[in-house]
Amino acid sequence: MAPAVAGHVLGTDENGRDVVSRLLFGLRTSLGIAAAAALIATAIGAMVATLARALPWFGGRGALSTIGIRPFAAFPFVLAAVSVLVAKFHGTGVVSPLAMTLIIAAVSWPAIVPAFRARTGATLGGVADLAACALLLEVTQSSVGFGVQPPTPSLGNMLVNVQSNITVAPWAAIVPCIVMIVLLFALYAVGDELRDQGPTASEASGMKPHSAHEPS
Amino acid sequence: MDRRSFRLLALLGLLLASTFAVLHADLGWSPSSYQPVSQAILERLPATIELAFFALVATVVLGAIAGFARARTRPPALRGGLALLQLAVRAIPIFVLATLLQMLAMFRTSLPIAGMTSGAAFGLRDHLTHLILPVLILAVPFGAWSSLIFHDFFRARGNASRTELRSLVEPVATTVAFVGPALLTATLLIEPRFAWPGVARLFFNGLSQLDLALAAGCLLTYSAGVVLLKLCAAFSPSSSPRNLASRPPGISVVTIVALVVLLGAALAAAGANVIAPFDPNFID
Repeated sequence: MAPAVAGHVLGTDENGRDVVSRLLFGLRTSLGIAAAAALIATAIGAMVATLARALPWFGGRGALSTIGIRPFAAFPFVLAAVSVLVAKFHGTGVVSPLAMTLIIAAVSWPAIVPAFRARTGATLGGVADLAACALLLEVTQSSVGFGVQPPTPSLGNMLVNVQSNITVAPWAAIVPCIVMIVLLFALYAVGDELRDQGPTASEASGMKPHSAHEPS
Repeated sequence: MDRRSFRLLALLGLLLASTFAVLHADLGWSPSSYQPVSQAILERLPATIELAFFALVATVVLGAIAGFARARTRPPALRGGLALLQLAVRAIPIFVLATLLQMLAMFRTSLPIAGMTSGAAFGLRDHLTHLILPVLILAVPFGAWSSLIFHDFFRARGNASRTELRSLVEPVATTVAFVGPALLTATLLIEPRFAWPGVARLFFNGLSQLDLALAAGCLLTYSAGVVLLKLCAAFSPSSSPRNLASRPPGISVVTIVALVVLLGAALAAAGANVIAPFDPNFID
């Protein structure tokens, strides 16, 4: 159904479901996964960073930070973990949002470890980056059909079926895409701003600063 | 032996060892394609390497141009515009960009949007036109990431009118080491869309048919590629130029708007069941 027909402000998708409502609930799923995964990953990263500081041989200064897995680089690992989980426990493609959160957190925590050597601002920037990374991973994963499974809406799986009728009903594809881009833009902007401010603590103490501009 | 040549030697050693491992490793039997996993992967690997290589070269070129332009632009308004532009390009998820450009190419140009060649015969010119679109889709967003590295590099050099070609090794190596792995795995998304006969198709086949030996073999191949690209960090500078040129304190307007947007999104998500006009699964 086209936008502004029968109370559907942004129209309906291929199954006749209201786009605005699915968007709001999809936002809840996707942002929830991103925030929770970022928090869990930050907690793991903080533990590892503390451990590395206490036991220099454990990670040294550079070893762990160079393993840092970046969003797309983590993509195949998430895919593999999801499919193994599905094969082991269900037999059909059902992955709960909780499982997605844990998997994303498990593969993305190395990215934040180097940020703990910098100032608080940079650490917070690292958390924003992690959230962006988690959001991108979830959205990418769901849009190829291996992530959060319908009927639970997420920003990613709203795009799974709409591409086949994108010429007839473009709104169902465009709206989630724009929301996704705006959210990622905001997260990157905040992350860049926090990371950029002033010299880092490690610099002040004479240690080598980490590379602040790895993609994440 | 100094540290740098030791790293170089280690890099070469790992390169040789991993080539040997890929050529000779027994990765098991793939029931879905009726052949050894290593053989199936070796058949597809050249296509993936070709795509990733050209995309990486284009990424470095785009990143260098964009970074140089942003570092040397004087008017503050134009500078801010360029900064916003790279942020916006980075924020577009790669599968969205792929759909967009593919549709544009389909309706507005005669660029091929699938496969490696048009017919059975292999023509170099024909093959290169098939490369344009996938390489562009990979190079634009990752070029924006790479422009950050080049921007810092050129800004740290100040107004030096001449930049020696040799010194460019550092930002290029940083790009390969930090953007390269992400680009390599993004080919996983791009290859199926362009019917590119690379390792990605094997990986997805392996996953969807639960041929786990095949999927694990492909995963191992991608991981080896990521590690090899990461090793290029041996050539990159040990400290980040961005940290040396500190910015004036204060929060920019863009950040404030971004924070407001994030807060709004969080509130909308939290109150979804109050403000949503319909049940998300109600069919009208």
